Amino acid sequence: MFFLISGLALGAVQGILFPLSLWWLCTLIFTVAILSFYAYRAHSYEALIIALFLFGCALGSWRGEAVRTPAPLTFPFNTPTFFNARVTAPPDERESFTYLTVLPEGERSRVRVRAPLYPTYHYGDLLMLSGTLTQPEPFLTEQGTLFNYPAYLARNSIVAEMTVKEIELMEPASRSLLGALYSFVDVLRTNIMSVISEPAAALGSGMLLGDSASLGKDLSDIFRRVGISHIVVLSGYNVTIVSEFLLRAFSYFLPLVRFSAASGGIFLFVLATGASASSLRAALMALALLLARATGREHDAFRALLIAFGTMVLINPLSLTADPGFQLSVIATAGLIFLSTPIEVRLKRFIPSRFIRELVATTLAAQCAVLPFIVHLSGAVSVYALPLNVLVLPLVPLTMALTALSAFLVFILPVLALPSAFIATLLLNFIILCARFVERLPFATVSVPALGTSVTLALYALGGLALYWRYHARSTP
Amino acid sequence: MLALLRKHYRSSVLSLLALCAMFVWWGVLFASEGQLVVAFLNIGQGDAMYIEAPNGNQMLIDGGSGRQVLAELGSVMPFADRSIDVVVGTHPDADHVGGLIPVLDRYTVSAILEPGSHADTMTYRALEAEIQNKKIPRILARRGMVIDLGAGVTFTILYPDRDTAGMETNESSIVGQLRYGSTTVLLTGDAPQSVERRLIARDGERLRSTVLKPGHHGSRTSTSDVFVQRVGPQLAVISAGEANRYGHPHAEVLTILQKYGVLVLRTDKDGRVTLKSDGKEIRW
Repeated sequence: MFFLISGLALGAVQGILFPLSLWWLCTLIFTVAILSFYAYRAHSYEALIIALFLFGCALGSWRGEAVRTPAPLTFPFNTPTFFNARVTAPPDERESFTYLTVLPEGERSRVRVRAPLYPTYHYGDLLMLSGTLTQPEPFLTEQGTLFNYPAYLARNSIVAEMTVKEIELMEPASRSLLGALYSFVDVLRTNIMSVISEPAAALGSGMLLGDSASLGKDLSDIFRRVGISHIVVLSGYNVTIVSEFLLRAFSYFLPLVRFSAASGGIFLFVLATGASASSLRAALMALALLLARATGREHDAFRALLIAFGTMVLINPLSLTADPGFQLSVIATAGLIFLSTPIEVRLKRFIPSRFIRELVATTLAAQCAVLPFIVHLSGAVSVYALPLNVLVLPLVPLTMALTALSAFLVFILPVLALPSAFIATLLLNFIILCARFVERLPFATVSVPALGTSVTLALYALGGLALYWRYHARSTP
Repeated sequence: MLALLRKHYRSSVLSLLALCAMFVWWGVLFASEGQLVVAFLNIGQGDAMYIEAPNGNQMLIDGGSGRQVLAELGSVMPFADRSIDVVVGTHPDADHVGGLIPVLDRYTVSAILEPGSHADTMTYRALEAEIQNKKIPRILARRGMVIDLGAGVTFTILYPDRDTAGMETNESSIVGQLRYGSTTVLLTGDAPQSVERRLIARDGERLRSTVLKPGHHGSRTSTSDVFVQRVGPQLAVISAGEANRYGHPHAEVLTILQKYGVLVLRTDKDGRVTLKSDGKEIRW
């Protein structure tokens, strides 16, 4: 299993970075065939492992090759142009403008359109756009690291940006499941904002429904600097909370009903909130957990992570190389799986309360795991991230539940939602206040030289080896 | 969590009730009695002023360009208050009315005041659609009109004094004077120097105000020397975005204000600027 997936990842990276020769692929497949035949005949475990690894490689490079070069657009760049295009993702509303992802008619790649906030458009609308197309360029971040913006866009098959002059709605969206889900989420968001005031409302709906952009640049920067942006953005963590909640909610039903209702709920939730790679990762892991429970098999979190990771790489290999959210989510989960128990055992002497100890251990595990990657990404370290996380994280499930409760109560009668909305507002403002306070402390973020890609990879490889050695030494006395 | 609730359901019901009581008292205690509040909201490059009369009547003048105004309103308005009595859109430029669209969408607004000029932009068309959609009464602002906010607070419209159709948008900006007792605030939108000259000719001494919002975010096209002299403010509040691409406020304007000894507060440097008046003096 492990070897299959690692082969897959390696192959995908190779496929994305370098063109693939048919001969190479054929040789790989031929070797796989021979090795598996040998493994079958000689009952050789080693041969099987190598065969699986190579098979993963082949599969990965094939998928990587498929997405390596997105189809170019037929429109001219850098001169005024116009075309009809359909909106293919829920609009990404920022503070003073909106990003629309559109697919021009008759094209296979998408365009990211920077449009005014108003009027608003919806998923599925057909628009007539006029403006100027530009090629996305890599840019320097505040910390001085180079951000590969084109690759980041390309993972959603976006190959161009457009500054728009005029937009005309040609044909409103026809009915679709996704459209209905997105508008339902919009209604929930409006409900939240009708009973919770800004900026708490933006934080609440960001946590619950994944609309972090409307928080504003100022606040999201603060959250990022102090190291709690993972709770603000709808990340794998939040999806895990929602799926836990769904599981509990359906726990009184028959197993079959429970399984289908909970997995259906998770599926719809992830779809409705934009299906980012990190939330898909969490949803797949939750599904694996459900399956394990339903079939009565032993649940192995690492295996679930591997399955989720492998599926994501197969679906969109670019999320492996160009989606920091997905990368962080996978690394943090791996950290939770392998590091939290050893850390907790060591903390036993210092922290008597089990609740706090587990909290510190899980936070520490995830933080340790992502630290090199964060330094690689941003070249900065949030010094107080650990205590802040320990303070804020336990509040997150409660805050999400209260925000959701308020959003649904508004449907019945807005006044009913006021008590829960009030407590939610207090909690949300408390989180914002904590972040603002910590941000002003001396040395809240320390700039360090950004780690290069190879150094980061080497660090993780070393860490992985150390873990492997440790676990292996334990299991074979 | 749930198990805990089940275990201590009596105390949890009690604490819930206590919270509800706190929630009511919160509203009572934090209401500022007997004071006029004027908040220059920190919304980046643009204008947005929130005004609350001592009796709780509310007015919003402009909304900035985007949704930042919502967060600002959330912090200056009482919890769960989702209505504003009057909204003024001084002129159709996006950095003044863009943010009014989400405001009209989220808040119940009883009336909107406009200068009557038009802009052929996507933002302005969206605003018109929103006003029509929400069926908000539109009032054409003309010189001599007085908005009586009650409790002795009035907003007198000084400009436009003529038909604004076809005018350049900045030139059509609504200019008004907010008065409470002996304290006055002069709000000028983006009015250029030509409008300032007209105001001096028409109003003369009546322009005198305690606080001036220099026109057009402190651009050199507004706030002439003679205008500052006539208004004679103690304080000027400039609404501009940090490091905006127009270089607002311009040095010429700051020099003029300095010449007359006017204290300057800026939203790009000081954040939200909140003034409070008891009818005798303005504090900030």
